[in-house]
Amino acid sequence: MKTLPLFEDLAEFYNGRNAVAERVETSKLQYMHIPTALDTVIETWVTQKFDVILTGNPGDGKTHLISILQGKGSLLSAYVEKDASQRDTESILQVWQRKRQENVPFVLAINHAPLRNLAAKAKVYPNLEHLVNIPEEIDNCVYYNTPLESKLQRTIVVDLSQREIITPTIVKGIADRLCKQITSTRCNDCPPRKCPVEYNAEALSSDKILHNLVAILTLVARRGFHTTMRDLIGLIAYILTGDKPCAVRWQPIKNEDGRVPTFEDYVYYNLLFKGRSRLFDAIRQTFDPANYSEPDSDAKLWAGAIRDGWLIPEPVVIAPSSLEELKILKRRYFFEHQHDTDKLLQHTLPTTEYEFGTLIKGEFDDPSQVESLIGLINNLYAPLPVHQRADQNYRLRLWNSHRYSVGNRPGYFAMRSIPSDDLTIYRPKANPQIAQAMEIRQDHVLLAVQDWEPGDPSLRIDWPIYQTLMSADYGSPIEVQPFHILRRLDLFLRSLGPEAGSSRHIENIEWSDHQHRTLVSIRINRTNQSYEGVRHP
Amino acid sequence: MNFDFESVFFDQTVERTLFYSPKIEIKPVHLANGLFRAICSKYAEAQDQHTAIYPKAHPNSSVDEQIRGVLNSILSADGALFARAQMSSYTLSHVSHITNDNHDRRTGEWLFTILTHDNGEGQSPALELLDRLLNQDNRQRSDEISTLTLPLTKSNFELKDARLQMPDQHPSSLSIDEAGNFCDPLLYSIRKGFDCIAKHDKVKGNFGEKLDTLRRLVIWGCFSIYLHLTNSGSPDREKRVPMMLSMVESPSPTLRQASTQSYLWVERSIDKFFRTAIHDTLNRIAEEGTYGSWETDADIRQHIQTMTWKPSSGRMQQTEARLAKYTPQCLLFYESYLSDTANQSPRDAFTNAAADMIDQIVSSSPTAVAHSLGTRIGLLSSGPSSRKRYTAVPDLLEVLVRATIPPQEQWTIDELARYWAKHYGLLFGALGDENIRLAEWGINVIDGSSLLDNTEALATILELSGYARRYADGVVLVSVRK
Repeated sequence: MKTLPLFEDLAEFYNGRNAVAERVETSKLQYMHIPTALDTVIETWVTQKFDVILTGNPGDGKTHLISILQGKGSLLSAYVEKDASQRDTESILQVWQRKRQENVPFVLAINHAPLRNLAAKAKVYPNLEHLVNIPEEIDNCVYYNTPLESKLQRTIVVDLSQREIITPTIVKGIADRLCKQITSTRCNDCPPRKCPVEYNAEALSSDKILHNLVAILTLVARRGFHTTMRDLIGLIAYILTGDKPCAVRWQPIKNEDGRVPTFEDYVYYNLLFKGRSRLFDAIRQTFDPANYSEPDSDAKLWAGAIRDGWLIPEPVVIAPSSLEELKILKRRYFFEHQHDTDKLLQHTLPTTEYEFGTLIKGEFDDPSQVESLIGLINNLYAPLPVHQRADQNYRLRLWNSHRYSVGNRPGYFAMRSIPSDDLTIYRPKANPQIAQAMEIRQDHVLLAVQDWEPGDPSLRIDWPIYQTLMSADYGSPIEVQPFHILRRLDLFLRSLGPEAGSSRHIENIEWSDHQHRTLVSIRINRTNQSYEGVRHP
Repeated sequence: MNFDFESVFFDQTVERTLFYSPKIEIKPVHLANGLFRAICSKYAEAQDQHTAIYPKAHPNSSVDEQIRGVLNSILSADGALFARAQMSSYTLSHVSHITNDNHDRRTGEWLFTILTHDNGEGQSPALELLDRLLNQDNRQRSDEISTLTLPLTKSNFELKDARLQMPDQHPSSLSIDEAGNFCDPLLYSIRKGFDCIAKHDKVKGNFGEKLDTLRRLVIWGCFSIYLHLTNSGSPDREKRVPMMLSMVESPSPTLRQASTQSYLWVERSIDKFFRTAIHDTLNRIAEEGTYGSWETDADIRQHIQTMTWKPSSGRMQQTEARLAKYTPQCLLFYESYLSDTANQSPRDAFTNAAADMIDQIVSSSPTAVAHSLGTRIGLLSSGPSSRKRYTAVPDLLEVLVRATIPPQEQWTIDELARYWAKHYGLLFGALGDENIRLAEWGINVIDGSSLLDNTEALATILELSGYARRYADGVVLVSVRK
């Protein structure tokens, strides 16, 4: 059995005291620290006398990182404000101003809202006026086309909310640290070779299994979920222990009619879909291998025919006797069987999810992806049978509608359009200043005009918008689509207006009766004030 | 002298007070038509256009059938297209679409007066903006609707001067003090909203955003009328009748109840306004003596027995059978106010009986007009009056934000809540003292978690609509980004 203090330590990482850096003893903090390039880069900046602002959401690891660097003695030459969110803005600025005069680097960890507040008040502090540009600088941590020049003087802003935590290095780093605590002693409470914690620790020490775990977490991140360091450590702590010490592990489960728990109740691939936190909720909503079918392997698993290729041969795989058992086996198969995970996901995931992944990763050429997106947008407003979608992919119509009362739109019209060649796809990149320090979250692309600059027309293609466009493509009518997606599309189409040129001698207006899936095209001669013709596509 | 009840107690009362006449349902498109007509001072006589867009009444037209179908779908989107052009209000976007339809009941002209008011800073920028957008020439027409109707106004088309009806002596709702300021501060809240929307949209309009601008200004106009009617009977001009927004999908019973209770204050406020106004009218005609004496019970009974209830002409004539019911009904109301229980003087009893009769006589009661306008702009949930609640749809929220936050400014959600409460009476939960404010109107307490959820829901809609940014530490900043 793990000693009680050890279990408590692990459990405290899951929704507990150890999850908050401000409350943890330095030794534990240092033990759990996963060094990344960010540590080194901050040390370099401080040596070069730069002021450093670490900002982001609670749980992103701002305080943790500064505490670690302080512990290492890397910030001795700097003035450090570890939790500026709790301090009075004016006093922070006064100290900062003094330190600037003394040429002492200023390092602070601060949440977004107080940082904006601080920026607004900085303009009255000589030598710190440049800090009013902080909000812009936060946005500039990520760029799409060309990086923007910083307006801050010898000050670097790192927005940790943009950092991608779900990387093999970080996940492996955390798993290794937590598993090491378990594998260093043996359990005396569970039957021999039947301790699920030991099993879980052994499994999570496997690179292949960790790769499969990262694959699922990447799907979650791609949908736009921001995983904090706190979330991730909590997740791994939970799937190792099930939030229960071995001494009480096998006692009857109270809320399940006194059922005696089984080994499967505490195995990591089941615990991953049972925990309580935002991240666990997001995993359940995104992908559970038990709920998706892969015809070939499912049939074999059901027949108990897959005997080879298991990364952990014990317990021996037998044919499941119920659907519940098959589901558990499917989870185990996903994590513990030797297979090409990318291929398995390609067969298993719904088309929308898989294609969104290819768009994010840029697996196809961008001009084709632009055409495909244009086709999807046109089809949302003007749904047509496939054989009538003549040039739907090649020109983006600037769809509009009009009525003064609220309610369903009678139809959509478009007089202007943009050729697909005028648009391109941009992917988020880290500002060169921080590019070495961290990876940026890849959960969207930008569909935008060529040579895009901030403020130019662009549409953020993220999971909700992609899902909407695909569901429209499969036949869901525009009336049932979420208002905020339609609004984002409206804003994009309106902003493209100036790109589509001004009035023409002959205008072509398309009218989509989306309810009847018809499209009429009417030509109007402005000079003669006449109709030049009408046609269906 | 023949005494016409509706004419004296409703039309003349309204003429001196509100100016606009809430006795027939007003749709947003009616208000658009009326407001645009007042601003352009024109309406169109375009029979070819009307013939083309209304195939049902005019089967023969030189325009292609498919085009006619499209025109009909687009210009009748608001359901106010009828056989006669001058009874129709098109879903319009150009001066050539303005008709002489009076279904806006002069709300357009009332708003126009607010927009033209010069308080030292000139007229509203909304006037210039709307004038420019509505009068785009044939080459400039930038929206699909006005371009599509361009061929219909080649011949048999004339722009006629619209006759404004606002008297030199403004009605009491628009009264001005010695310094030249509106006496009612609510009018400044309305005007400020128009100005703010126009400032946000001033450079737009040439490329697809024209229709959005027209829609926003019209929705704001409708909200303004609703707001004015709602506060018409408020005893304190500085205090707004509360409108408790219920933004969550499934509101808690306490939130739902409070929202419905706040809605019920509209009816009370309007009722109070009309009782006071009819009282003043009765005193005036009694003093003038035009219709004889109104002092004794016998005088008043005589008037009730002999008065005509509705004008004898007009499209909204009622059947003899229905008209015959009014006299006994009025007598019944009158007697109940005169009874020992109510114990009112004959004139007061008649004032109250007349106010009760208004709802019976006019096509739609003023409360019903407010109710339908509020529903059509998405301020009120649909459904029966007893279960109505305030729930702003995203399009309306967008208009409210654009009417509130000036360009280049960023407000916290608390600042937005304070402004809305002060100027419009809108509450949603961010203030923390909503229950105290509601208690002043006898509205039940809402539980704290419901108010939190409600604020959260509103912030989420604003965030999803691109008007708010939420920070991890709970701060929500609202702005209108370019």
